[in-house]
Amino acid sequence: MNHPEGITNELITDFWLKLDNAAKMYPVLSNSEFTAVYRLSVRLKERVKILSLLQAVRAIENRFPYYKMQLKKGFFWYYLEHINVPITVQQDRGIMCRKFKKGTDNNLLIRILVKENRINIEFSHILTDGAGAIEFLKTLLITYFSSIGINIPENLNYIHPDGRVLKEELEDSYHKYFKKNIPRVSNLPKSFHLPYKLKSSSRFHTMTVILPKDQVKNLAKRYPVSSNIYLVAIYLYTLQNVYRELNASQQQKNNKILRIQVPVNLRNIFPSKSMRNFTLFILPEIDLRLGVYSFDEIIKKVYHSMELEKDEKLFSRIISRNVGNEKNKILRSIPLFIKKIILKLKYYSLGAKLYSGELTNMGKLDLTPRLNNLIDSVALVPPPPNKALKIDCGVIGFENKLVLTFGNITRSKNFEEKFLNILSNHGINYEIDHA
Amino acid sequence: MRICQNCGVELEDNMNYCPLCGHPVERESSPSGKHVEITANRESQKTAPDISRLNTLQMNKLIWEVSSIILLSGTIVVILLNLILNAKISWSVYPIIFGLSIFAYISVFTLWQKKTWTQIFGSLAITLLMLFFIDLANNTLQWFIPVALPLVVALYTIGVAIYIFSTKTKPRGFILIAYIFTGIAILMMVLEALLSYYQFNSINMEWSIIVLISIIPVAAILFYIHFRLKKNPDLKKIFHI
Repeated sequence: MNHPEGITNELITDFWLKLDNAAKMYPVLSNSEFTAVYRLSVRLKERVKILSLLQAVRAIENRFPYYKMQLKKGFFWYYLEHINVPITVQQDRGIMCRKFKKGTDNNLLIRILVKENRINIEFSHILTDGAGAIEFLKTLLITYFSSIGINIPENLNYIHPDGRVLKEELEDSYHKYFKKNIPRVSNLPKSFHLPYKLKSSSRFHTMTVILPKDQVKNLAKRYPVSSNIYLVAIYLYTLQNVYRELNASQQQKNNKILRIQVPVNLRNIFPSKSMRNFTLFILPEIDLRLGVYSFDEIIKKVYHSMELEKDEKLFSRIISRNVGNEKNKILRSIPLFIKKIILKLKYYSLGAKLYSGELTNMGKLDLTPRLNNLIDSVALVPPPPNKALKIDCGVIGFENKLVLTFGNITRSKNFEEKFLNILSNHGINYEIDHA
Repeated sequence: MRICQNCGVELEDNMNYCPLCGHPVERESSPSGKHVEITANRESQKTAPDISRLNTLQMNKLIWEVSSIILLSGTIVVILLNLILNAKISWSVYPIIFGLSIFAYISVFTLWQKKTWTQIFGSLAITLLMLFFIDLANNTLQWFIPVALPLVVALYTIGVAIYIFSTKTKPRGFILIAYIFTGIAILMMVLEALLSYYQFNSINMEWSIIVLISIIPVAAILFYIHFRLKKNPDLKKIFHI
């Protein structure tokens, strides 16, 4: 893919980047449990040919210079500095979404983990969101398939490893689409949180469930909504069931608003080519103070909320608030070590308490039937949730599989069981992936 | 098709180790040719007379052997001379202490070449022992405990501090000189304090303050130059607001 506006890869060797607006909080908040690292996992039908994979990684990594960055501490903010070191390819030892620590992974914020027929890519959210990660994954898979002698279809749309890096890929689109002098969104009330006890250290564990996509699609069509809206509705319905099973005093203590974060890829709304974070959230909610909701009512609420909130002007208001906070002169001029304390306090007293759940739907991975035929399944492991959220869920589609991965830091699997029960009651034949 | 027994990925036929996990690949038959080659190589090492072919370890061992023969034989000669001329060991105590100390230094620096901390603490012990015996050679300990012991410990502490700071800072040019200057200033103060206490039983600081005033501004300028001209002089990224 040649871009006339592109800059040559050789030029992109020594540069630094301010963290984008979404990434700013992650270095402050992340720790060995709340790592802000997510995983894209691909299970091939055959074992990984390791030499070809290593060659493919070397062939593509310089096309993505903005992912070969190390996190550095500035006086006022963290920043990213390019380092020309190879992206590490390591054996997957089963620990998912580990924090990127200094001195490991070549000091980068990306790693590739391999075992048998599985290729996993782990990204820190400081670098990019799922949309950026999936573009990297596509390029890696296609280059790998090419190196093992598979003919790549010509009409395939992906970032070619020999192409030029676009300046727009490095941009912080939040800043680009920030509008001054528009009213900011108002703050939300706190929401309901799952009552489960947290596991002790190394608490992040996952459960992957494979749903037949056609079954989910057909069910969703009945309402008629998209599969994504259908899954969000099930999420909310499950949360309501959890709430209803609490005893009276627990119900009294807990907030009664069930609110889910549903990330939206803003590249579909604003004309951005950024390969860094550019995501905001839609927040479907139900208020249990108004009574108990039927599934039909929930799905209607989710549908209207998603349709209403997926709006450029409303997103501009959120960007205005988020970037506006970042541009606040007082906050900016505070040294980082003090800023960290303030941001942490603010996040744990308010930010973390606004959501009852999170469902990230990455859409589908499609590399044309010829290449899809070499892949068995794909999964998105969401980053470990924070202590208030406790459970989150990543969804990705591939061929006729809709793969849900629940990230959980509690001792309970009650939420997942309830979620799967509802799917069962709706007649969906799910399969738990133990591999 | 060959599979790594540890991580399960597919390997190339010519791979001896898995490039992913480093696990060795089990071979069905042993390559006898290679074995012969390694054995032959070991034989040639055993009989190799050419010094230029020795590796660092072998070279160090050779240096240690030669120097120990020279120093020990020299020491014996000195003892014999002293005995022949004076019928007792008197003046030869000093060359004996120096000879043995040099031998100990050479041993520490050649036999533990890559163990920096062993070298540091080893040489500290040797220095202290050497000074102790020199002082003791006059039958009574005079200056070892009040002056030599604290001074040597201070010297080593400052040296170790400079070593640690300089290994953690890059590039080292200006900042290394700045560290050394600061170290000298501190050492001079310790020296004057020890000497004045030894001589007058009170601490009077005079000339070391002048040394300090002269050296510290130079060190400060060097520190400034280091941080200003660091490898990436792009201060914007550090101070972006």
